[in-house]
Amino acid sequence: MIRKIIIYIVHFLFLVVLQVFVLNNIHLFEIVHPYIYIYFILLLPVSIPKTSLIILAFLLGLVIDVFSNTYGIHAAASTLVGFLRPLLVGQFVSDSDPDAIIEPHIRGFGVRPYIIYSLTMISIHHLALYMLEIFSFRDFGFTLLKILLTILISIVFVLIYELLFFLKSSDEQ
Amino acid sequence: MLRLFLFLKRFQYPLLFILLEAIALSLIISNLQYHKSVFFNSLQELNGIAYSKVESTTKYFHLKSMNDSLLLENARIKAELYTTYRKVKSDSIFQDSIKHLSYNLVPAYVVNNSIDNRNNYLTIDIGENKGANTRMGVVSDEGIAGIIKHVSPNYSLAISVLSSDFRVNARIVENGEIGSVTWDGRFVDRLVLKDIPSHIAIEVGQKVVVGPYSNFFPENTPIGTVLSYELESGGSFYNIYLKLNTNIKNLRMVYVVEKVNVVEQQDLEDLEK
Repeated sequence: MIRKIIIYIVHFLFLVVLQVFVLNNIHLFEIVHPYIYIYFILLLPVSIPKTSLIILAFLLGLVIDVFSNTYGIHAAASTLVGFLRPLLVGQFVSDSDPDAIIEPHIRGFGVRPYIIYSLTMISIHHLALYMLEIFSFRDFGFTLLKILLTILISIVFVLIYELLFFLKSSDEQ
Repeated sequence: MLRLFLFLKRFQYPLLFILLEAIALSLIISNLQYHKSVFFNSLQELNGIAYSKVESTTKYFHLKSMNDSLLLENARIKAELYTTYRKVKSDSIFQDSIKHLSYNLVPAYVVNNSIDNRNNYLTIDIGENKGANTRMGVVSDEGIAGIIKHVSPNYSLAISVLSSDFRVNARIVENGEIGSVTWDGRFVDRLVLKDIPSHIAIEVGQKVVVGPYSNFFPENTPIGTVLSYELESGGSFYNIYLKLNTNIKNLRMVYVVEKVNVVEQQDLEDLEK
């Protein structure tokens, strides 16, 4: 149990550092950069209490805010995702045996459901994030284009992270 | 009381959600005002230390380009010096320099820089200890770059020209028309000049510089050149698109501009508020 918690803390720190110092400096087409930190909320175990989940999501967003000078928008978007995650995870877990899936990963979910799961979460997050940041419907077409591109790029990064760290480690367990 | 407690227990999850979102939104709103976001101000120092650690490692990769831009700037300043020297020699009337508003420039490194948000920020490695203060301008060797919004002892955070809060008084060099420059959030090298009436002749390639009423930048600091223009939907003013002079994507070295006597000027202006 303690070992699990330490692994989660390491993932938290690693994702924050990766986001803040590496991905925040990637500017694709000069208008988008990928957000991978939200993957921490995707990866938490299914059985985590809802209140801890939402508090963790808030803290994660706040840390990103502090380092990106964005003053609360990441905290707001990330909390929203944390709030909606139990609803979404319920959709995937109820079908099969609930004991089988401990953590939401490609292994337990299957490729297609996992992509749907992560894509939905990332879309909610990015939509909330950009609407809060831009805070107007002026130039909405451009905003939408920006959001769609960012979602596409973020999902690629999230899937790479998932494949790198969890395809192998789930074999060991 | 017990029923209230039961109510809170039953709905703790949505209530917690609403509470956390309210905190986040209040942070967003508090940031809309200058000087108000105490929470982030206190974390500014930490933020600056973390970024300057990273920057001190990556700095070495940019030494050559930094050196080149310094050489160019040196050459330009030398050229300017020689022309003024000749001018002073040719006419012997001396002007009292104290009558002119003058500026102090403090060099600084950019340790963090964002470009693809709606509001972008520069973190600079000088703070209160070296005289930086809020509402001072930040310029690069090519033109304007930002305005300081928060300071901590050793770092300051400036809103970049690529920010919805950014606005600067500007003048078209060729015809002396005055307007204000903002960023529309679209391209990192394009600003918009507004408030120029439609009867003025605008040409592509005209130069735009900081106008006389800016409290942040010295007059005649370059801003950009006219890329294209169109009439605003109302029809009586132009939207003039400018190519930004400063290469904001690769900003490394900047100067913080302190306007001497600005406090006196502001005190005087505040009398009528």
